[in-house]
Amino acid sequence: MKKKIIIRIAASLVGVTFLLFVVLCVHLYGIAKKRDAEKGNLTQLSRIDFKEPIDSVNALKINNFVGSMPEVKGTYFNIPAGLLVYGYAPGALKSQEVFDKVMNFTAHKYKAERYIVSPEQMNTGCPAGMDNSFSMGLANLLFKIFN
Amino acid sequence: MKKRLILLTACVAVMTVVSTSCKKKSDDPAPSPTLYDRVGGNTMVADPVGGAQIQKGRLTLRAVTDSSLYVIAGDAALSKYFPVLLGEVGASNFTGFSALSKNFTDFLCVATGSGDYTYTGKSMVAAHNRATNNRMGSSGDVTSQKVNSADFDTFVGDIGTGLAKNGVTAANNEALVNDLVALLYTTKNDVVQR
Repeated sequence: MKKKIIIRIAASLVGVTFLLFVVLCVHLYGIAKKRDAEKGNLTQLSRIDFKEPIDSVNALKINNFVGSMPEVKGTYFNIPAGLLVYGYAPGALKSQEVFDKVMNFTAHKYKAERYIVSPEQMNTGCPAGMDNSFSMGLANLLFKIFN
Repeated sequence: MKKRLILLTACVAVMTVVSTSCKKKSDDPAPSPTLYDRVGGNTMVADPVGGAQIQKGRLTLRAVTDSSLYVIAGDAALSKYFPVLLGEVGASNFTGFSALSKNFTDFLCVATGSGDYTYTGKSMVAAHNRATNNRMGSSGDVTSQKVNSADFDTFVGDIGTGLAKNGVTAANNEALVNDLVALLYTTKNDVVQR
């Protein structure tokens, strides 16, 4: 008799826990979906740092070359600093391939390098997007599963 | 009878005074439009990218934010504060750009007077204080990771470049540019903490 009561209580606890987990999943999926409401903003930025002066004419040529790639959403060339930023959907391009194309774009071999953020740098500065909590991880997982 | 007449007259007089004093004057000036109204307000339009409906004011502020993020990523003086902007992730993952775009757009929507959005990120003080954001200065070089006044000015300049990329300049809309810049400068004391 006592055993039955314990089993029932345990089953109820498991059931309630499962239900709460389902509610949590639905809630987190809702958060992920809401965050995805502005789909156009799922954008990855990459940067090429030129190590030699680039005049405005050549900067425009390089900027237009990268900007004409169908996967590229936008570009910005900081001419005085020689920094080219371009945006694309995550996974739509490989920044190494873009870099290689730019390097082979003209006969002149530019002194340049891809700007790569180190794991140490990623742990500094603005915390936006760096939510590594369990709930955010689960939200992202659910989002991927259902999309 | 006479007393009743006096009482009735007094009641009518009081009611007249009360009703006229409470009546809204028809010539009251209309409330001045908020900054959010001036950049498009809550008129619904199609989002040119996703296709969903979006408030025109938010769309404008998001476009300026996104353009500014490109500029910030290409500004060596500022990109050190935003490594998440250029950190590469795999396909379909959320990026630092996406998170910053949403957070900053939310912040601007609220700050410019939209009542339909909420900003859920850290406060400007908390986000820029190492005591409440341990990523600030966590590179080991605490001083260089704390925002100084010149960096803040550079940041506002980059937002100005973002505005210009969307066709808004001091030359064609000085009042709007000035008001947006003034709004950004209201946060300076919270952001610059040294």
